[in-house]
Amino acid sequence: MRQWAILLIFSIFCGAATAFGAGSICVNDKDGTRELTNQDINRALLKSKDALYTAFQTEKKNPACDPPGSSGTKAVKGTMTSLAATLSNSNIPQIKKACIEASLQREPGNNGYSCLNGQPKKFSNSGSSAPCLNQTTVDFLHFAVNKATACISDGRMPIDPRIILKKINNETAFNFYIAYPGGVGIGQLISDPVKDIAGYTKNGKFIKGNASYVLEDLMNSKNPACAAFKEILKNDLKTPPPHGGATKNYCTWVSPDQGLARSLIYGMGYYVHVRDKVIKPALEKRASKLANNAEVLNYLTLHAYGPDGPEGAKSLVRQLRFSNTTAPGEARSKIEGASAYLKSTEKKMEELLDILQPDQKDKHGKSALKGDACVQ
Amino acid sequence: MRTIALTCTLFFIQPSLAGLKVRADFSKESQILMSKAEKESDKNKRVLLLEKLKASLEKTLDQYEKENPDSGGEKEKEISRFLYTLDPAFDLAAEKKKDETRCEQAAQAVRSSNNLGKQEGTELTVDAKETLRWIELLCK
Repeated sequence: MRQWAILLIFSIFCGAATAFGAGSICVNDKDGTRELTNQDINRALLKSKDALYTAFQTEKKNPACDPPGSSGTKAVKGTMTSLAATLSNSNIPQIKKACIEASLQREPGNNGYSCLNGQPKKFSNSGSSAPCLNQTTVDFLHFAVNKATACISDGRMPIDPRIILKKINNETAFNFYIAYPGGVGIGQLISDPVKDIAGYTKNGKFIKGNASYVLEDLMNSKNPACAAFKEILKNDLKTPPPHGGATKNYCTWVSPDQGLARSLIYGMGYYVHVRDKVIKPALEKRASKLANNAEVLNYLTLHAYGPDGPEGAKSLVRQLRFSNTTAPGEARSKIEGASAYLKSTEKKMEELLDILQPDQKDKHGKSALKGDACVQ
Repeated sequence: MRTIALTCTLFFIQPSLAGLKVRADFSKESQILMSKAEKESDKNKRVLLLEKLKASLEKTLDQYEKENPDSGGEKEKEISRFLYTLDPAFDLAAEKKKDETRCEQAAQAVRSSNNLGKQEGTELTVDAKETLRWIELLCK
């Protein structure tokens, strides 16, 4: 009887150790100072049967050929094909995992929600109450962010992953489970942009959103990077997901499987809508040459996400007297100089870089602050 | 003596800026045009009234720019923010089709834009409220 009890305890221990992978190292607490113990997010992900997590597991089983810049290992033929397919829109660089991990060391605080049984369970996201994110969860997060970037970039001006990194680092530091009235999920979405993508019903009539074409494009895309998102979002165009404004709906946007995938697509989808349909036409009217400069366009779009909003970003074009004789470099530095939101984003990027390159603390160059060190 | 000198300096530095309209002037202007639009039964004439407001805003902004060719100030910013908040109404005005769906989409564009980067349930700005009123009038 005693032997059975010992065996049972041993089995439970081994099972738990396997389930949480490589012991239970919390990637978001590498030095262990926060003493994180809450495993709910890791557990919820393990339970996932969603298309994106399945795609991740498949690629994990068949490790892809090496990312540029790393030392070579043997590449399996099938894997190479899968990687080539994944990155068919391959002009788009990927965000490095090391930078996501560095961002995760920052503590954005606020409240988070785990969705272990599909129900939102609140926790304080500060100190030791924050959840532990193990290596599998962080690998999946890295996979999901880059897949969404490749998917949404298909058929349009590609998304600059450096901007996505800076924006997410600024808003949630990749704590994708944060939810409060200021926004839900990795991109801190609020109800109105969601309505504008998914559409909504008013007086019994379905109103298509101004940005619904982003989801339609995704559903029609042949890019393999979109395959898993299509599975998750196929019903969203018929039945819009509940908005994140109410706590009961938080899991739709913050659960580590569908919630993260949905938040990434809606967040990046709305970003390209603001960039291409709101900011770009305004810039074209005054300075058509600048409107074709991706960096200028991205800086203005990022500014639109600050308190000044899109109207403020459009006003800035006039305020700064942009014209066809303004050089893109001059325009970029003028936007940076005038935008408090861009400055705060850059400050948080500096915090990320301090963690990533501690030997360079307070000496990060312009290129690093732009995010160049974080993409490959 | 010092006061006279200061007054003279200010007078010579910004003689024409003193006469330029500010955001509050456009609230009055917009209200007058809206009142006319409310009484107007012809949809096209309501569009013309909104276009009148647009032209007036643009003219003033051009004047500000002429006075300050290097960069704009706060007063100018307030006016340009109003102009750009009105964009979904201008877009709608330029379209032939103004059915229920299109009108609602234009209104949603105003709400989404106004709330971007803000908390859930934040009250709309005065600019946004005025724009929604114009959309309502265009769709009447």
